[in-house]
Amino acid sequence: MIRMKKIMPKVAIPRMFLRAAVVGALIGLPRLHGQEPTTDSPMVKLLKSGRLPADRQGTVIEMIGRRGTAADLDYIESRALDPAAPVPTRARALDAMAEAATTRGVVPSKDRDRLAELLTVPSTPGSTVLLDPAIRLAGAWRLRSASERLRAIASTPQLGETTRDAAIEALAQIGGPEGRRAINALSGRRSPIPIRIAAIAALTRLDPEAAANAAVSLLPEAVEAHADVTPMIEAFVTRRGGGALLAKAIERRPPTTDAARLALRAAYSLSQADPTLIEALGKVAGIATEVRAPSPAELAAMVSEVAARGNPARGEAVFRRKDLNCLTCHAIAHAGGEIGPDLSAVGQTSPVDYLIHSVLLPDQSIKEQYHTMVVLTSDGQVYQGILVDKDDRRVILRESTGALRTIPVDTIEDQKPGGSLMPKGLVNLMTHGEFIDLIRFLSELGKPGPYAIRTVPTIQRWQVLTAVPADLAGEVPRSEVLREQVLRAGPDRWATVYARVSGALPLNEAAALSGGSKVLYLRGEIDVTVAGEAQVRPQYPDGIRFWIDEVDAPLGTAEFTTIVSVGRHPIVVRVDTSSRKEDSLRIEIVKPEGSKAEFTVVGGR
Amino acid sequence: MTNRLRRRRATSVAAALAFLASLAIGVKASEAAELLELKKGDRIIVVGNTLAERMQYFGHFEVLLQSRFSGLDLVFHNLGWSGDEVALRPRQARYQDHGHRLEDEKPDVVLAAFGFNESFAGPAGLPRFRHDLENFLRETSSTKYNGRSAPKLVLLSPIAQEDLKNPHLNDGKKNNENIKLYVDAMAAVARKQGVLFIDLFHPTQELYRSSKGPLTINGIHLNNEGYRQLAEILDRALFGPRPASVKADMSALLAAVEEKDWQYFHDVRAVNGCYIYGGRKSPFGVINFPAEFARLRKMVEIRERRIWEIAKGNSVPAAIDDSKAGDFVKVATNYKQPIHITTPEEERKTFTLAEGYQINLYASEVEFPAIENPVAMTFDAKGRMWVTTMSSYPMYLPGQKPKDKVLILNDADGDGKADTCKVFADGLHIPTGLELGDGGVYVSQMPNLMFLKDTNGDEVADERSLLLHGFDTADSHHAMHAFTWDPGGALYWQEGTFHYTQVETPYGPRRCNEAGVFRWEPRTWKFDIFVSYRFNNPWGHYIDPWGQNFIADASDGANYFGTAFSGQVVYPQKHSPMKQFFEKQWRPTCGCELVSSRHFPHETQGDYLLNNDIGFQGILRYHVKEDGSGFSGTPVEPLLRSSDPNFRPVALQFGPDGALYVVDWFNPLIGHMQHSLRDPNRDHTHGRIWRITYPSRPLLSRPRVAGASVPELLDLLKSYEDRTRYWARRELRDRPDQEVMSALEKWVGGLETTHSEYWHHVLEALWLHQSLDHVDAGLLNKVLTCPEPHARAAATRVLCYWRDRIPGPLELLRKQVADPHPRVRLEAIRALSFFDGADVPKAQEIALESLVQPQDDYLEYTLNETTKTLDQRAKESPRP
Repeated sequence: MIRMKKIMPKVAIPRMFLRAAVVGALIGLPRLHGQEPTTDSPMVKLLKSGRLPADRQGTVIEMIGRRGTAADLDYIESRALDPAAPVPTRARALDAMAEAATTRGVVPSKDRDRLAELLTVPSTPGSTVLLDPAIRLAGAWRLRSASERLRAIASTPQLGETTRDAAIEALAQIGGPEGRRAINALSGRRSPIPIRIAAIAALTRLDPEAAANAAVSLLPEAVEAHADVTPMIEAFVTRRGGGALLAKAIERRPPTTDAARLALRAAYSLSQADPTLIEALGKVAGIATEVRAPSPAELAAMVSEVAARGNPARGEAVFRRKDLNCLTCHAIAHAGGEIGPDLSAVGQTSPVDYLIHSVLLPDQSIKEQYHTMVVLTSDGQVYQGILVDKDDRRVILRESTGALRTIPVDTIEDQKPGGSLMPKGLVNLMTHGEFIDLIRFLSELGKPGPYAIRTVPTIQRWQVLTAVPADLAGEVPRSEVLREQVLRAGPDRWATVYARVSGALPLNEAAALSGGSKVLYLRGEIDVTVAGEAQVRPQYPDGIRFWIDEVDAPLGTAEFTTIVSVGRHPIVVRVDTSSRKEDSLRIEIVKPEGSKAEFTVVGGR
Repeated sequence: MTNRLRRRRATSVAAALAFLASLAIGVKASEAAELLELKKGDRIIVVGNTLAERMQYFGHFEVLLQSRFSGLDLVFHNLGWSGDEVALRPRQARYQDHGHRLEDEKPDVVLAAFGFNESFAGPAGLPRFRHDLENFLRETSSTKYNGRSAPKLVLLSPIAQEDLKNPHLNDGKKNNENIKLYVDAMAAVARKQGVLFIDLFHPTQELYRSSKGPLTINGIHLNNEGYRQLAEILDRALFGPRPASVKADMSALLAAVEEKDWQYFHDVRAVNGCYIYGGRKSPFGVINFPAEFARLRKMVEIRERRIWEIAKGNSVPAAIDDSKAGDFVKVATNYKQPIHITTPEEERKTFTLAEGYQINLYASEVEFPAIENPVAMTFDAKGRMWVTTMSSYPMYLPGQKPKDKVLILNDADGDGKADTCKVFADGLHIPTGLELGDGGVYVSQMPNLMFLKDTNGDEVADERSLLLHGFDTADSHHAMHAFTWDPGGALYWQEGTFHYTQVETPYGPRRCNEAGVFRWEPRTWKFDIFVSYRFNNPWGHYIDPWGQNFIADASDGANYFGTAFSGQVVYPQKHSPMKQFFEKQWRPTCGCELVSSRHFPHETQGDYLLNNDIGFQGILRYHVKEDGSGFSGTPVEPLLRSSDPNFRPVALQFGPDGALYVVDWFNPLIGHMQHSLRDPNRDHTHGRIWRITYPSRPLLSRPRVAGASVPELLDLLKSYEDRTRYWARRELRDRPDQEVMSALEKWVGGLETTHSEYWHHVLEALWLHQSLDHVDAGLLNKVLTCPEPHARAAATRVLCYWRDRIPGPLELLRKQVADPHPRVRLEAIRALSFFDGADVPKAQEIALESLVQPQDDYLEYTLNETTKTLDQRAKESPRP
């Protein structure tokens, strides 16, 4: 299975109600059946009547995807294939047909092979508005005739990862000799590493044994290429018996220590723990992987050790470590992921023994909104996630990545309550001392003192410009340059970095994401609901310049007040680390006395 | 009037024949079956629906049984469960581990009362029922639950529905036709399988004819007298004529049986199952609960021996000796931080308020020691505050009697501090919610809804009745809370996840798995799941001046515009995820209220206030604005913030002086899961009520509600404050219907049609009709088509609930889905989800028509939800 922005129509739930992209893979296909068209249904009649403005047709098209007959689908298929129809309408029609095929097994009665017309590399780069849904539909229909085109799409780097992964996912769904041939080609040595990783992940569903061997061969190369193998490891873990097969392959042909470590780290980042695989990787990597509940005496000893020796500042550094992924799911002071509970006040309510248990054995105590469900499908996939929605057609789970997975009810072989989404065994990536520090840090959160919930808001979630062009590094930009090169820089040019609980952003962490640049461009954001004055207060103003929108704050100012209108406003900070003494950046945003403004500092992932 | 007269005549005739009739019943019931033989030490286990469940509160049958068979030392345990069917008995997770499966109870005799809930499926449901019943009888009469022999099985038919001649209730004719079909089927299946079957349907029909007073509370559930009579029928049918004399003191025996049943109930329906045997029993529950329940079960045995002694005519000591029932395990705290219980004055100093506001202590445990962990509140017609307290929270300790209370706090001199505190009711267990109305107090007593009444004017409850059953208890802080009336006279409350609730009504069983909001019309006894949604633990519900709902989920801090997801779903479906009406800032929350008080500044009117209890401890505030068919909120400066870790605001409401009152549960430990339920550091003795004012504006003069004339009360419906209208509406329900209706007609006639609030006033009149269950199609039509869109939307909601008594409801809704205002369309689309049977295709077609109008998020969402429900009903005939 392929992680991330994945495949799958978003139709299951009206899009606007869920922020995360709706994804999911086709998990085995219910039997497909077409029907002879009869008279138009009320939905098709409404579409044809001309009473609906163009921008509202999509709603009815989505509805047809959820409840329409094959005859209804014939009509929206004709719309999807009609080059004269508006592109958004065509895209929604494609997604609606995928929804119908996936969750209900209903497909148009004719012309399905014509979908291939849409599976061409678009002439304008970056425009995959029709291509992506067409790829997903080809997978949902298991359209064998599309295999070769999908392979070509997957190997076209300029189309981007989303499109590439969608194409590989579709090939996995298509399967058969055609799908297998295409995936073999993509996973072969001639392909770039990221494509191979995605293709091997897909191969786990067609031939897990072959996939296991391919994975073992790939691992050392992935180390060299600094590639993330998590999607591949996850594909084995979510395949019934897949983890064991990979474990066997590893025992047969042990990879290098580093390769095993890379894979082990990936295995530890997943919500489903595969003990066999983890043990096998641990042996090669030389890392102990056993996790057991502490005895009451051990627990008591740890509790006193936390009080006596635990250092919360060091613990925070452990919490922020990339390999532990804490911040991927947990926010503190509204900065961080939203998959697990916000930990801002966890120390106030949770005693130390409870925190130790929660980190060591995440399954033991789970807040109500974080209970998961484990679903086994008829084609051997095992999914775990928080139940989002369920009806007589499909189940939707929120997985540990935040992605939504739609599973047709017809394909569910077994389901049971699962534990927590939190990875188990993270403690094995820490030293004992680090663990004690981490618990100490958590136990301080929300208590009076340096880790209390602050009344003065600071920017906690920062974006850092990942590559700073020479002219921006060289001098303070004029407003046109700022607008063009910074404010309008696309989302792929920024990386997220979080301030510490204190509000201080470690500049070295930001610099690491900026290719080691000496000059950094950082962006925070405020959301204003009532206009008025807001004041920006950098704690140490040396070496920095900042702007609210395009309004330039005077050099060296420690308090800059400006009037903000309703809406979101970026605050951009240029930091010249070479002329700054402080190794961190802390910026408060407050309401000056007498101001009517109401705003919040934007946080989140 | 004529109805009542006719009934009186009929019953007096019947009364004359009562003796004969009851003889006839005995013969009739017993001739159908052989008699049941009992042996010494037999364990008799009752299973089934509410008919069985309520038997534990009215122990007459066991009294007859134990007195007749003194010396046999019979064990009689009641596992009856509201809403159960032979093949549908939803329970909270791992309930089977609690020790009350038949394998654990090891019955020699099983009494099984089923068929009532099943009968609502009508003739179409019969084949399936027969099939399920056959399986049940086969399994139950052949399984050796005690390891030695299969139990003797006795199948009890449903009772008949009584016609209470109450114009607001159904007369039971149609239900009885269905019940009879099911009774006949039960008789046939039982005969075929050789199972002893007792027909209670025909004998109860006879009873209703001959009885002077009502034998049921709502037509379907027997009252005390009903159970007394049923006991005789059952006793005679199973064992033949009564012996000439028995040795037992029957009233002492009844008291002993009810005492045993009370203890057994607290075992079999223990609150907090999650922590006792469920998913959260580790790491804390496993330490203390095994010993607690071992003790409780020993206590039940001690009481059983007492019953046997009384049955034999032996004397028993007045006090029951539980000293040998076993000991508790001592639990150590895991809360190692120093705990400082602040005084009210110290706590007050920790408050930071938004500019211009002031806070003062209204009441605390210092002046009134009874204020221990207050949790829910409401104001009465005299402006006094009623509060529930729960010092036994999270649950009482077996062997003790819980002493949770309903208190009346009164600030007679209006200085903003309570002067008196009166105990209205004591001995309650975890009363998580309450609301006044209908001459008494509705209070949650999980798994039941209790009604408390003071009948002699001393302001102490002297009548306690259980009205509704079947609210789950898996987690005591998830059960039955956030009570509120809507303007049309329906009462709402909520429950959180882990719960599997089933409630029996004269219109069929209603079920809700894993969280929802309930709606009940006490007059008509119509109970429904208002919102079936995967909440975590909704604890907050406010209804705005136009009848729109705002619902707050405590655990995750989510806030919802309630109308959009309050359409019907087909059980066990839930509504799909819905967006929140603003982005949450904090969690967990507890209680919400809209600002509606001229004492508060103008610019805050309509703001949404939300208590928050961890991390941020205080009252959050949001501006709310109309946004298409729904609303959206934006955060503004919080109203209150405390740095006292003990401060736990759990309820808030505007009072009669326009000040905001805040209930402070006051507890250093709040986590249900993070500490043992028995953690010694949980506080059980403190509690505060705070009052927030805005001193630069004058307080309101208290509205006169109690003692006001009906016309004066009607004029209060024109008040600015939501709460004043709320109290006036509630008071009007207690006045004689005729008087209210005739005054109302005059009042409506006298309204100024040019007044800017004219249509709101007319809407209040429509709501009052709804509240008193006086359907008025003319008035409804007038508001449905009036120029004020908010009133049209509210009237569309009324139409939804009157759909069975208004001609052509679907045609009316066809107009509403084309309304120019999106809120009206939303209400209409929502209302379409309530149609079933032959109406479904038309409802589907009208719902689709709404797409011709402009859409927004909520309209699309609600249309999807309604379509899902209608499609499903079109596909299958649903379980009721």
